[in-house]
Amino acid sequence: MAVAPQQKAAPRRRLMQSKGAVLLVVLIAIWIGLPFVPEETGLQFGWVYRVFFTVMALLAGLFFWFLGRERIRTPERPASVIVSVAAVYLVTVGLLVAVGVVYPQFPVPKTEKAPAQPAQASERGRELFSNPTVGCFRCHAIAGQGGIRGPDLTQVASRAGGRVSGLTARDYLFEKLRAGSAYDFKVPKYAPIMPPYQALVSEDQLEDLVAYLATLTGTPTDEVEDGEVGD
Amino acid sequence: MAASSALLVLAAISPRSLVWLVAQIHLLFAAFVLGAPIFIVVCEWLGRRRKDQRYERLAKETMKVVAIAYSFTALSGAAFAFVLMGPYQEVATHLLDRMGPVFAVYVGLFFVETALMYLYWYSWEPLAGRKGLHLSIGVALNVAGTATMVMMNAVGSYMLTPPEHAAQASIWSLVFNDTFSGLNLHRFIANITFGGFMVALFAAFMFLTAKSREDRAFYDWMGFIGNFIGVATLILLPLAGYIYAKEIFLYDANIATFQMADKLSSFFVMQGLLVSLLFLGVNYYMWMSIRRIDGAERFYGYMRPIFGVIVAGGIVWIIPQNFYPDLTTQTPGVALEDIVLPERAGFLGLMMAKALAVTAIILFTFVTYMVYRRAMALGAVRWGEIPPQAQYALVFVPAVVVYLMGLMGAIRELSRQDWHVYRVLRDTTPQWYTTPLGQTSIMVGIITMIFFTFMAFIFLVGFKLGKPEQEA
Repeated sequence: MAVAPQQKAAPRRRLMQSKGAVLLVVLIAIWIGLPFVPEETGLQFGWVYRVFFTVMALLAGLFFWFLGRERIRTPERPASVIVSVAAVYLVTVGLLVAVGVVYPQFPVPKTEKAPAQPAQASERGRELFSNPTVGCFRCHAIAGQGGIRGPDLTQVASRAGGRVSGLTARDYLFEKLRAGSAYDFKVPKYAPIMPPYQALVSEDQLEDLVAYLATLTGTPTDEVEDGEVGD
Repeated sequence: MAASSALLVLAAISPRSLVWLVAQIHLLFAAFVLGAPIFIVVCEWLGRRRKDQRYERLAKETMKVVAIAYSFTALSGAAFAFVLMGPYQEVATHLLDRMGPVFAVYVGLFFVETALMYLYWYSWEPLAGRKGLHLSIGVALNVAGTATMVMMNAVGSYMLTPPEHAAQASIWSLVFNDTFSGLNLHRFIANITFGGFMVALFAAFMFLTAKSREDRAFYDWMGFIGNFIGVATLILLPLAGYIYAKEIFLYDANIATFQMADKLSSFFVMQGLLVSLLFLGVNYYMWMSIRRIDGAERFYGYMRPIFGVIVAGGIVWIIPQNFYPDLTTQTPGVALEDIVLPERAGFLGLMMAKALAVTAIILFTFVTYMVYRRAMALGAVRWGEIPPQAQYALVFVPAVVVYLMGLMGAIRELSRQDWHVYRVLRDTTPQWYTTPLGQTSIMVGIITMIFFTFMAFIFLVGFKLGKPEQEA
């Protein structure tokens, strides 16, 4: 059953080479292939995603390299074992903290800011969105949560501006909410069942709803009130 | 010098950080002393049923550690209450006022659980001939422990999902709030998972420092059992988590939106990474375990494809629907289309894709176990001959588990946004805000390292110093 080391070495080298080749192909596909994907396919990943996929590919490559190691040298003296176990914890926790710190995120708020202020417009809008009486969430989902009768609103802020020529995202959202499915523009593939919200909520509440929808996926700051995106 | 450094550190951290740290340490100890006894009683029962002394030894050695950890649980609980009553007196008063009877029952149950725990531990030898009675005490201990946990879950779930008109609601409405059952289910399963992985950690360390073949064989087996229990319950956790999340969504879609599409969305990317690492760790251990089975070479070919699926599932789980939108204004060269999934790939960021990815990971972990079982049926297991790196997988997994528990605990608490009790009692302290992922990660990292430092001490006292002479 035992295989001589020199007999094992050649296939292992080949395996290493093949893993390296696969990783190289994946990286080429990410950085050279993806940018040339035609726009009409709807599969053009931005460079932030390409960085993300690169990190994932490198981590996966590292894992499969590790998986191919037959036996790894491990310490034998108890003191060395303790040090090695502590090192596993320090490295693991350290890397996880590092991921959490470098991942794109909203900034630390200023702690001196007075608490318990009245809710911002977007916060009030968020509450309205899931208020059973208003009922937006019954038909629209955000990040997979909510109904499916209406369009998914997870990225509505980035799409609304392109719906009707000449209308900003905010203006479009206002008009659409006011008129419901009676509005001229209808999102394809969905039944025209949206009620006119001008009859259901006040003008202030409409403002709040729009402020909230404008934070979903975010739009450039000129369309959103200061501090409402991700703060 | 050391004392002044400690004072400086204490002064630097905010009251919230202090409460956060102490509460999370307490919860980690509590999870261990609640989860491990379930594991221990099952092992003792298996030892009796299968007449296999290894189960008995495993149960007893682990119980020794639990007995010491129990004191740390009580101490950290007292510290938590002490800290809460200082800077967060308003919260403590509100909770005692609204849920006084729950706290009273909790204290009573805590005494019962303590009495049963010591009775179970100290009656091990005297009741060696009456295993049925000893097991009954163990079962009673677990019932009391679970009931104690349920009491605190009532308080915790009330803070996130209080009933409507909470000020006038009855104590039953406060206890049986919308997420009470979901939190109970999730924590009950998670505690067993945690207990299993912690036992595997002890076994791994003992294996790596074992001098004799017999000890190596025993601790190899013990690590396998701990990992098996951990994985068997781990695969139920995504479902339990989904039920809990659904309850939150049905209670108030605002919270779900805040979690999944707002400030906490990056936390769930981190969760995906952690759970993927967890499944990679346990599967790696299993494949290393297969190597110590005679004639298992024929199965080696399945390893890479299985890991391929798990890695791919993990990546799909982690892919965010979008990155933090202010990147476009904060970082030069970032356009909106760079940080949002392209239209046709948008499904990768939705719950359906994530659920499918998790299902694939779970299914292929199950396949790994099926392969292991098949291999066992064909050849003998050479206990003690597992490649040593497998033990480091057992060391790695609890580190990820504890970090994950810390992160998920933070998500649950931060989901209340700027409320101590959601829409009932507002947080008016200077630390009212939702901490970003980076700040949370640092806190969770500190908590993880402190917890394992304590556990190392407990383990040293319980396992190493407390070893019976014939085993030393």
